[in-house]
Amino acid sequence: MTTENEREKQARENAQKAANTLFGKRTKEQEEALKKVTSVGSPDNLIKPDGEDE
Amino acid sequence: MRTSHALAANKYEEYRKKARSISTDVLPDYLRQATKLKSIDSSALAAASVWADDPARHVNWDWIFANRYTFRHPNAFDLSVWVGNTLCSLSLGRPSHNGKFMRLDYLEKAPSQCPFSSDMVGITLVAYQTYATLIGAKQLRIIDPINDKVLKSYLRHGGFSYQKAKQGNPHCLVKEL
Repeated sequence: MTTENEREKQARENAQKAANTLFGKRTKEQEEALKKVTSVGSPDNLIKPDGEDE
Repeated sequence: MRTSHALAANKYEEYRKKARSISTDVLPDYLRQATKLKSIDSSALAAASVWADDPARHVNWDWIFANRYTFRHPNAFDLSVWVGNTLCSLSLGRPSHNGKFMRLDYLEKAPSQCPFSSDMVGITLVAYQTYATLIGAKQLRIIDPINDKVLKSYLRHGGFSYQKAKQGNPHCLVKEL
């Protein structure tokens, strides 16, 4: 059984890994493309099905 | 509010606060010093209301709805990212019904004045992934991303893979946690 403390430790480790990757070196093209992203997804997604839950 | 609802709301509010705090801690120095990660509270809604009149805005989303949504779904995750007094982005998502994965359902960046504009997607993903781990979810999914070509290229490096729509379920980008 995973304790709250273990989960928090795991969350911190995962967050650090994700940050290292997501904010690591980007190409100029990636940088420009990310600047242009003004939205992701849609509020309509809230009513879309869950996949494995169905 | 029923007692069970209040208990759930309190429990998940702690997870949300912790996720925002951990995410802030792991950001690169230039972002950690400049940004604040908060909930979608009344000040975020007030700041976002200005977006409605911005001609550069591409969508017409009602963020007041987010406030009602988190009340109805106490385990949902809401995030506002600020640089000083400037609201830079808002996002909303929730865990699946069985809690196996966390969904990022939508995100919007400030249409015009958005410092660190290219970092907003990254900040949001770190926070959603952190919340997902705290609540015990095994996957993070970005549901039906409308600009998936850009995201696919960027997120391949972040460990996401593309999952086609199947059996009526929307396509998404998936990361195992």
